[in-house]
Amino acid sequence: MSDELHTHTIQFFEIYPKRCALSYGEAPCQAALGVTGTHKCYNTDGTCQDLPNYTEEDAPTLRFARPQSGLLRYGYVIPLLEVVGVTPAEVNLAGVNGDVSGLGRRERINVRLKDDKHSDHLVDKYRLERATGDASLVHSGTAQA
Amino acid sequence: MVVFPSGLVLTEAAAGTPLTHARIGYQNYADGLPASNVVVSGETSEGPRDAPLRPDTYEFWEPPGLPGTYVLDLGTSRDINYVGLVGDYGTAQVSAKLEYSTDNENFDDFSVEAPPADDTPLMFLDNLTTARWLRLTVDGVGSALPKTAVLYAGQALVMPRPIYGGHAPGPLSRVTETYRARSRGGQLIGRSFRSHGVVVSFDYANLKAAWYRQYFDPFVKHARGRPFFVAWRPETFPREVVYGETTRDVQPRNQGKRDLMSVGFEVSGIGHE
Repeated sequence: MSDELHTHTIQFFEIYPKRCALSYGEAPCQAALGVTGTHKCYNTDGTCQDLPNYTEEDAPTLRFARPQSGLLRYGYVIPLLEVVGVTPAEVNLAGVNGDVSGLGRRERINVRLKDDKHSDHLVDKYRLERATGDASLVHSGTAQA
Repeated sequence: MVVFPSGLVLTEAAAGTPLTHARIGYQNYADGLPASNVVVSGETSEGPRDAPLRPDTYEFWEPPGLPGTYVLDLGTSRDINYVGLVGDYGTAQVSAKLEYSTDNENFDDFSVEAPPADDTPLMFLDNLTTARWLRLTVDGVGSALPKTAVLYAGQALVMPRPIYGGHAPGPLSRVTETYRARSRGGQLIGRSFRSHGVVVSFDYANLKAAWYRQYFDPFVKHARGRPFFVAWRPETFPREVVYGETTRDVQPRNQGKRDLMSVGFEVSGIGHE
C-alpha cells in the first residue's frame, strides 16, 4: 500500500526522427564547404547538399518530460513538456451520436512544448563546430527542416 | 553536501569568515568555455563533455566506464575556493574527487573526496587556490554510470553574518506536487509524485551598505538569470546545500540607521529531499 501511495509519476513524449547516417564531406557524401554550401548540413534531407547519397537511418530518440526532479535517472530527457491532452477514439454505432460523424472519432493527442535554449545535443551532429552557439529548440528545429 | 578539509574550519574562523556563515557559489569560471577545453576519459552518446559547462541540470556528462575523469582547462589561471557539482552520485554509488593543477601534469587535491551519499548538490570548499586545470574523478563499485550535470568553479560569496532567524532550511522545506485520487466513497486510492524539489528562504539584516553594493549586488545581478549553489551553514549542516534560482528579484531595504541594509530572498531548486 505504501508503495502505491508514493509512486513517482512521469509522463514522456518521444519523437523518433530520421537523419542521414553519413558524415559531411566523407565518402560517399560529396558535399564540400564552399562548393555545395556555406555551412554543414544538419543530416536532414531538407538541408542535404548531396541528396543522391542521402542515407537514411534512425536518429536518437528525443524524449521530453515535464520539468521535475529525478529525471537524470532516465537518461537524456528534455524537460520542456507542458501539456499532453488525449481525446480517446469513439465508435459511433449506428450513428446514434449526432455530434460525431458516422465513422466515429479518431483518437487525438495534443502536445504543448515550451520553447527554450537548447544545446542541439542529439539533434545536430556538428553542433560544436558551428559559430552560431546555442539556439532555441524551435529555431534550430526550423533550421534543420 | 558540503565537503571541506578539517583545517579549513580554523583558517576561515581566523579570517573572520567562519564556516557557520553561508557560502553562495555563483561565480563560475567554467561558464561559456568551449567543449575543446575539456578532456575526458570517455563519454556516452547521451552524455557529452560540454554539458556540465551549462547551468541546466537535464544535460550531463556520462563516462562509459569507471573510473571516469573529467579535466577542465579554465583557459587561464584562476583563484578559486569552491567547486559546485550537480550529479546523481548517490544513485550511482560513486565518490567524487577533485584535483587542481597549474601545469596539467602535477595535480593536488582540492578539498576532500566526497563519498557516495545521495544526489544532493555538492559544494567543495577549500582555501583560495590558484588553478588552471581541474580534474574530477568519479569512481565506485556500482554498476550504474554517474551523470555530472553541472560544474561551477570560482570564489564563493561569504555572507558577513550567520543566519539566526528567518531561514527555512532547504532540505526541510520540500515542495511537492502530487496527484491524489479518492473513490466516490472517500477511500484513498492512490497518490503519486509529479514533481518535487526544495524551497529555501534567507533573511539578512544589518548588512553594511558598502558591502552590499560591492559584493552582494553582483550576486543579485547574476541571480536574475542563472542558478547558483547555497550552503547556508556549511560546518553545522553540511548536507544542506541547494542548487537553484531565486523565485523573484532580490531587493534590499535601507534600515534607516547607521547605513545598514536588510535583504531577503527565496531559492527554489534541487536539494536533499
